[in-house]
Amino acid sequence: MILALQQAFSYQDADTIWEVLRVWLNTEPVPGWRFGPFWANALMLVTALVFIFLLELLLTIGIQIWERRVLGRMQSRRGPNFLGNITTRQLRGFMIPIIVLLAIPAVLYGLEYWTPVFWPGRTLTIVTAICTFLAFAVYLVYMFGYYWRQGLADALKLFTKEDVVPLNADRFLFTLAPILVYLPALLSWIVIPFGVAIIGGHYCYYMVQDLNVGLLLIIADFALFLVAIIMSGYASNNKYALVGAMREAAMLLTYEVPMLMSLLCVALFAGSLNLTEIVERQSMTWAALPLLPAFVIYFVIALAETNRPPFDLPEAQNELLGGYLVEYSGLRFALFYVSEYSNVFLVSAIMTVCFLGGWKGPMFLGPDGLWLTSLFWFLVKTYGLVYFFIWARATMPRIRIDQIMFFAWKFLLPASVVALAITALGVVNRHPWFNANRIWDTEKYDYMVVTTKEALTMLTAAERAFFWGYTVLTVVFALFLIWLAWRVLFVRRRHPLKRREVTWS
Amino acid sequence: MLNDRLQQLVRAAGGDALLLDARQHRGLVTDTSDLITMLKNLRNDGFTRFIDFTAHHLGAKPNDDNQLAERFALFLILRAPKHGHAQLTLKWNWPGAIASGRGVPPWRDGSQGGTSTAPTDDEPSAAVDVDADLAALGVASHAFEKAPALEELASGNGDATHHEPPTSPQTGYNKDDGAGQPDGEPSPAGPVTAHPTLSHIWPAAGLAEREIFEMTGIPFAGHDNLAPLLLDEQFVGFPLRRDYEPPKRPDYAGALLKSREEQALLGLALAAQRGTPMTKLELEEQRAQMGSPQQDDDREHGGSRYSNNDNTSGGAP
Amino acid sequence: MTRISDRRLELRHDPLLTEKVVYSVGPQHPSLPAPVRLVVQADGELIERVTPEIGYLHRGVEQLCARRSYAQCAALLSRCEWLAGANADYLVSAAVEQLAGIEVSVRAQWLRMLVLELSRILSHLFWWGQLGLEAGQITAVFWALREREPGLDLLELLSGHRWHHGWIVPGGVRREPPAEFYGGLARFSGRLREALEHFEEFFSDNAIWVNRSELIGTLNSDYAQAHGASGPVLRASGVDHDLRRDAPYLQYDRVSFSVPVGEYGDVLDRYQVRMEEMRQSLSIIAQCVEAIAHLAPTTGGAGGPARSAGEDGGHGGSPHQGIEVPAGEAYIAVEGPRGELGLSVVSEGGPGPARLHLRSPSLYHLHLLDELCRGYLLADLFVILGSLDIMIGEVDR
Repeated sequence: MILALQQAFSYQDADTIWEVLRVWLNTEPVPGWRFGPFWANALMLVTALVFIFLLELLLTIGIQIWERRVLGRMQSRRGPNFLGNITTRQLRGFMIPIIVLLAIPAVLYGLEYWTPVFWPGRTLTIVTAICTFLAFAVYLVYMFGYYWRQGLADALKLFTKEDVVPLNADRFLFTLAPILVYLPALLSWIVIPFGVAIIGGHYCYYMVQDLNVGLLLIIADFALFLVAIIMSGYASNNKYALVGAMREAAMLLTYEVPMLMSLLCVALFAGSLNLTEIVERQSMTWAALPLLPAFVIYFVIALAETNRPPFDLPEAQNELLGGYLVEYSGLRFALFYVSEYSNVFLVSAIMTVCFLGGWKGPMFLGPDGLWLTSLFWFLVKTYGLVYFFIWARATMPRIRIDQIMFFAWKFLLPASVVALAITALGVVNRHPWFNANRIWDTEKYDYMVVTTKEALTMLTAAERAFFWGYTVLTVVFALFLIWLAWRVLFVRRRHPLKRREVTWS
Repeated sequence: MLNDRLQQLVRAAGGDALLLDARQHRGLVTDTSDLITMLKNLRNDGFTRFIDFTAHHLGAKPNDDNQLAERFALFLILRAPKHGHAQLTLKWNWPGAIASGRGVPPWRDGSQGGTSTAPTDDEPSAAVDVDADLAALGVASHAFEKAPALEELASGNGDATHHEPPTSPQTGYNKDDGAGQPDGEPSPAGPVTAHPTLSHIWPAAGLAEREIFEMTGIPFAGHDNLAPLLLDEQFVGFPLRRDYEPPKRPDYAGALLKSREEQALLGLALAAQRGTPMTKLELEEQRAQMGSPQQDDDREHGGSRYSNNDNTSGGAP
Repeated sequence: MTRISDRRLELRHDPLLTEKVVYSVGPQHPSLPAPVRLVVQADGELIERVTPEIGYLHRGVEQLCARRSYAQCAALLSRCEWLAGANADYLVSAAVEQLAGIEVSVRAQWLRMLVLELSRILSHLFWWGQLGLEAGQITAVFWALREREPGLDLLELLSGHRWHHGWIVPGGVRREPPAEFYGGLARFSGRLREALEHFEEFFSDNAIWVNRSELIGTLNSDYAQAHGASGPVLRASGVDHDLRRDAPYLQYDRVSFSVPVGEYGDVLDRYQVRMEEMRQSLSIIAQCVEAIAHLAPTTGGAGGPARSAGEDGGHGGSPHQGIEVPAGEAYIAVEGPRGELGLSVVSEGGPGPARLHLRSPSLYHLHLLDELCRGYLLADLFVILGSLDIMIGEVDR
């Protein structure tokens, strides 16, 4: 099998797992089966969709557990931390082996990196693969050990509920809307690079299709999501649903523009819309550092994009009774529900890929491209970002629709324009800070990738001054943005009350 | 404790008629002929804050015309913020209300011409022409319209329920001569006397008046919306009057017990006749031939412990 | 009277003359504390009129009370004011005492004050959670209930009941508080002081919350006074009126506390007034405990001061079941958590009232909603409703 895969690589310059399998199936058909290219492609398409579907379900369930635990802790109530199959004490029992298993390869790498110790052959790769696999297995056992009853109960309830379609509803659109909500949430997963494997000396990404316009596809999918939401709100024949859909429309249309601006910063920085390319450009530094303003802006927009608090006003549970969800029940509601959590994972994954270096772990752990460590680091970063989503939900009241408009048009849009301008200037001037530390080598007529420190030594004095000026400018602007966001979002207090003191007797 | 100045103010507002009990913060209004002027004076003198307005039904007693006249005690509680938040309770008696304890509420649809018979046969005199009564009072019938309906609001006619107050200022609250009545005949159940509304003096009194009207039946002339506040629109009667009896409920449990009992007796009798026990099917057939006891009116099966017919149980413990 | 809300609507008038929409909020709605229906006429999301429809919880309490003894009336009325049932107990007891001319010992008065203030704190805590829910923040509910729980345990320790504790009875209180009550009270107070600071950080300093509440639902002081507002709603509008200070009952003229007064009458002012009231109540409770410690119990043991008033105040039955109250009328008012809670009683002799009427502050506050919400957005309706702290039980009775 491995040999066949290696052979498949030699046929074509394939770089995703799905592509490798497809090529292999085309060129080395199973004996006795007559696979033409069409059927091979069709089979692989179905396989990929099923795989993505299962992966989405798995990771979405993980987000739900994560959210319930964190929310229960923040709201100081007895939630899954104290009740259910796995309590906090048992969780510690699960966490300790995971941490130990992940520490073993780290220690080995660290020894090789910092001391003259040299591990022979493929020792490190094999040890890392085994340890990470075991840690992942323990995580899965924990997840399903806790969740299988609750998840099964939820799923059973939703699947067996009566499917109610309101009288005078637009039946066709009412049926179509949940599907259209779910499809973009599913389709975007095709282009997310979860990690990288090395098969036969080639880099082989964990993704279905390595599109050159991956970022564009994701943005387009979000636009489709908006259409589906408006469709559901209109088709429900309900005032609350219509108001919710209208709020969603206003909010998402408003937020599309600064979202595009902030993602454009990333595209300029990496010089590509290809998501694997974007990750590879962050070998030396995370894009979140030079693009900190864009990262802050995109994080706020990600909250709004997924209808998470404090921007959950389209489905405000205690105002609009769920907004556009109000008439949906059973399986249709389940589609909305899954797609919502799927979107949460999706925007976190986009932030991980575009700003936090994707699957790449800390540099002292050695080269990336390890089979399962890459997946591990990707999930750690993504779930870490999801934590901030949950934190916001536990902390902030809901913003009003006009305040959201105000915030987006008068704060986020100018800020994103300034961030884009700074990034563009930096990229055009071949500033190492904004070029993923790629330095143009006139002798080779190509970029060469160096660390920031090395890049600085290669610059002239004027260029170095330019570098520091730009860096300071970016940092100051980012600090200003953070201060402003803090002021707008968190700290505000009115004058104290008048008190009339009375003392009797 | 009302201070001296406030006592003077109250005496000035109410004249000699207002017998003031300064220690208890209470006043008794003996002459209600110029009530509104007096209350306006009180308001102008500093009792700007309306606290509460409530009515107590004292019962009915025959008057000179050999008819039953209603008697009510009305309590008005006021507060004077500028005078140390002094509190004043005014009490006065009021004769008359919409006369029937089981009458048809006036906000109901007038499909029966405003006249309706009482739902039970044991109160034959309870029929009352409410519209005629109200006309006698000079109270515009649109004052009793329902709360705004969704259709009205949605039709764009947003001010459907915001009526102007009656054009002719209504002060004839002691009127019992029936001047405005179409045929001049008196209403069948005694004089109906509308109280002047206080909502022009204290806006908050409007709510209390709505509640008083639906609970005791005292109408308030000049009130712009006397729709029921707490009770259902279909509710019949004025529950805080002493002659109020809650409607009898059908005695389902008693009827069931009785039919079971009859069924058992019937079965026993037939079985004794035949010598063998009867099956259920046979029993059903027999009952169908003899006529089912469940066809009877439920009201006739009173007397069990579930029924509401026992009047003695309703008194004070 | 020129309504400021009309002017507000004019200023925000939509020149396109789009069609109006009517939302029917309730009677079952997650934002409503109990069944009540709000018919909201709006221009898009801009509210033009709110008409409350009440009566869904009407149980005929006044009609029932006219046929029952005072003890039963107290039980019924505390079901109307369920978040601070001690107020209803006190009202009935004070009415009976005024009519029958019963003197209550000073110690019992201090004890009553303590429980009334404790009830106010517990009610306000519930309100804080409810307001958080209205603003879209469910964490507040859990935090508020977490802090409220020890207080309910204290009341359970005192009377055996958590909500409807008929502890205040005519003549005094039902029994002496157990010794561990005061320790628990001190712990509760200390914990709550910290929690209030925490609440301030969580909510009052939050810019989203300030933006959601500042100059939203403003209530003119003239309009508030004319339309029967009382309590924190009235004080937030700038009217400096507190029955505890201005018409002192019990021993309120012996304690020192301050009355917070708002300036704009908006949601934020109502919020701040109630937050400050909780702190003042804590201070009053501390003074009560100090005063009680210096007063010897009138009668020792489990019987307590209530026994002296009741004729058959034995261990079994209700101690004031057999009181024959002479004929007369009384109006008793108390500064409840939601405003002036009043009780008009007409007695014609006998063990029960001939007529009893509860003056409900929430009834008047609920009907302020139309004026408060005109010209604001639909999302503001719920925040305004939460800031009024409506208790449907006492509205519908």
